[in-house]
Amino acid sequence: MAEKKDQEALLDFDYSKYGFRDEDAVYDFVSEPGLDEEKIKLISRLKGEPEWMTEIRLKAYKIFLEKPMPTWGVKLDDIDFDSIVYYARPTRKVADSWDEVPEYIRRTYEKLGIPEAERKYLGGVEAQYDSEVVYSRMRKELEEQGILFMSMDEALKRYPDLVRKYFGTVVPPSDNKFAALNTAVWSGGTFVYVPKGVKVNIPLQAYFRINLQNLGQFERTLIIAEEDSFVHYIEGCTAPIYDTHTLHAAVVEVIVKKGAHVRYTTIQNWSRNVLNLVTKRAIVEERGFMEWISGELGSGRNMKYPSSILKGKGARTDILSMSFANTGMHHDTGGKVIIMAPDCRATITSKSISKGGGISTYRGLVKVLPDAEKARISVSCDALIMDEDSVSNTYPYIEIEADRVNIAHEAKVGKIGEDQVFYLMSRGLTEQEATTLIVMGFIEPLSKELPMEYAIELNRLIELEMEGSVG
Amino acid sequence: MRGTKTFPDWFLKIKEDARRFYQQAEAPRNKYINLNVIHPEEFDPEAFTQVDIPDKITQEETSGYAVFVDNRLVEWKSLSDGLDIYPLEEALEHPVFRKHFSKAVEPDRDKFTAYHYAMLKSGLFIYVEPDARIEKPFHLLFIHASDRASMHPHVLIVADRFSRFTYLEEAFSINDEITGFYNPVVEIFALDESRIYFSSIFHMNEKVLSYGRRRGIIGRNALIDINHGWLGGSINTNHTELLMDAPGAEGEDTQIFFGRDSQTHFLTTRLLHRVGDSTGNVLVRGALKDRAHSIFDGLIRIYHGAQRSNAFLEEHTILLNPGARSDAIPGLEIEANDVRCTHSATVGELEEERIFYLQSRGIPYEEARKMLVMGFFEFAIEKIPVEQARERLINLIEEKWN
Repeated sequence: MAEKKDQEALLDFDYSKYGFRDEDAVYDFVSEPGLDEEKIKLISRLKGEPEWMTEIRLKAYKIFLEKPMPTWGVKLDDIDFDSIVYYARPTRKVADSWDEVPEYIRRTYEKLGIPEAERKYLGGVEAQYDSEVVYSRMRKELEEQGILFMSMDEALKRYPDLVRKYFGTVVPPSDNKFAALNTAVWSGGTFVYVPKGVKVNIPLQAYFRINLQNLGQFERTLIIAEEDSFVHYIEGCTAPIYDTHTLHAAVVEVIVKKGAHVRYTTIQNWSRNVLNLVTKRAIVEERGFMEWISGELGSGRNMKYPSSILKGKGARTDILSMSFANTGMHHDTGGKVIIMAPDCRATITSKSISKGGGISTYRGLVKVLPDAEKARISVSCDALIMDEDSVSNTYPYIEIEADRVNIAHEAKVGKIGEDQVFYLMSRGLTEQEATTLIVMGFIEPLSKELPMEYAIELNRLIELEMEGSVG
Repeated sequence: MRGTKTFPDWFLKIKEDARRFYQQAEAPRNKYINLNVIHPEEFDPEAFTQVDIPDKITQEETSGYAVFVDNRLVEWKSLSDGLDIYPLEEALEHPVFRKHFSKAVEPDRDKFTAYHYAMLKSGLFIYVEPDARIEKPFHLLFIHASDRASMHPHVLIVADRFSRFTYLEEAFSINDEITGFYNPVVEIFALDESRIYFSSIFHMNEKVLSYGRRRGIIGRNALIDINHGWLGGSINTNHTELLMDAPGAEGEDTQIFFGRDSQTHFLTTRLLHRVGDSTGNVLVRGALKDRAHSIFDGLIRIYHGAQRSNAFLEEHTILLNPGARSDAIPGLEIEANDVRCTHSATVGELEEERIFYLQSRGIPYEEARKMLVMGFFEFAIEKIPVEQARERLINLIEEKWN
């Protein structure tokens, strides 16, 4: 009974409230807009970082300056790097109790329902507000198993050797311009370490919130899953609506050791003024399994291609993504799999919906290197176009250099079947309800992979996006 | 030699503009290949060797024939009423030629297409009169006979309203030693209610560099059915485009490729649905041996407002041994919602069990592999509408396998 009530509470949640902003926010430190070496040194000094990290930042900054802007994907040429605020620290302290979090920030997270969710079904929560993590806490029993779950800044202080060993090994700063920028100015993000053989049965969640106008958020996440371990990490993102662009350029590095299993779930619901340009990549060792699950609902311009490098024999990956491009939105998303060893398997499933003139693009790469014998890969992309002004593109790149391989790719683009809508209407649904129901069915492969609470949230968000789709 | 008279000014202007474009343009490239390794100036457009015209072409059941040797058109003849054949020099004065020439394949599409126009001096114009039904194939040969030959044949086909036309071309070298640059452009116009069945087999030797463009423009309720067999060339590049230009237009594009040694097949295909209520189909099947490499870039594009378009693209490649490599980009760009567009691509190997089964029936290993590959091709070969082309292609693939 109680469970049912919780569901209702979630369903009643007014999601239009995502767009609010905290007018009375007080910051401990906000850097001047624009970027140079001095500012990077200042960020590093304020954080009290070891010298080697400052060096990494400065080197990455040089790479950032040299790297050209990508010429494909979404429109990027209007990003004004000089007007971005690269660092805003709301508070100096990472709290481990919501009572210690500054009042105005706590209010924000309460509105978003985070503390409540934590009590109910999460193993740990981390909340990042603008540049810094303001709250981080994990259940005691998890702590006792030796699991580390904290902000990257704290990990750098407490476990510098671990961070140094893995930082930048999966996504080097030279990977792309925005990975270089992230490495130069990173702040916040999550550090997760799961010891050998430990299975974390309840999800760990990070919640990213941008509040300040013109702020760039550059969190850096590092997940290390030791041999035969399991962890499920969930991230959620929101921001208020401003009329200027906000840049979100995250880097996520995941290391999946022998036989380990990592599941990484993202529900991205940034407001439309946010440019979401993230680099997410996992290295998967022998028999390891990496799952990328994402629901991309927000962000006006979105470029995101979660990648798995299958390095060890028998490694596996599933990439499942759903993207909803509504009016004024351009999503260029997909997945990347690089197979380097024999007997690997990969599945990419992409579902996209374009509506009200929105553009959704699937861009993917499957690369099989010469030694990767007996790889089995399947890629499938389905797109729904809701009206005649919307656009759907598919660009799957397939590069096969090994001979004993089986890869199948398929893509379908179409509209909602009129006969399906007619059938549902004959059973008493309105056209709007029928259409929404069919869309929900279309994305079911994704929603059934989410924890129940998130599936409900996702469905609710889809319902909101679908409003006014019949006229 | 016929055709020594000077070209008209409008034609010279197209050539001159193309030359300028060629000089400033970069060689085509993508992620997998950069064609700046092709240096067309190293080849000689004047190279010419006299060869005997194969008897069979004049004796086969045809509606007409034409023969290019190196860069010259040496023979042409129509054997059917309603089928008019003109060499370039005569075609230039034909109003239908003038209306369509360079309109399907624009000279500024890319560097080597521009080079084709800049160097163009022999070509063929095929005009199928309204209501004419040319059921027997028109047979065209491109014979590569000279070392360092630079070949730029241009073929323009216009099938007028309610006509029907069958076409078969074959390009080959007289031996395996000579080098050459083969740079053809074929423009095909299917006017309203017409049907064109186009088959082409390319098996010039494995020293030839090839860069060609073929584009069909399809009118109301008209059909262009293109079939390609790609066996030859060292780097064999071809672009095929079918533009569905009116309701009821139908485009069919079937391609088979086979690569061995260090051959590269770089095949681009486009289904462009400019107007709705149209249909497009692409079917590609290829097999690669040794260190051969294929790059397949196939795109379905549905333009804004082209509702009720129906398009399908599939590409299947078999890699026969380690060292072979296949890259594919089957893309979709869809700007209308009431459409059905599907594509699929697979890359795989021959199934061991099937080879084993055939071996258990007494068939040697290599023979079993060949049988399976021929079976894999059969689905595509069956679609070729001209029987001669089907037989010829099967023979050539078997020959090449050995």
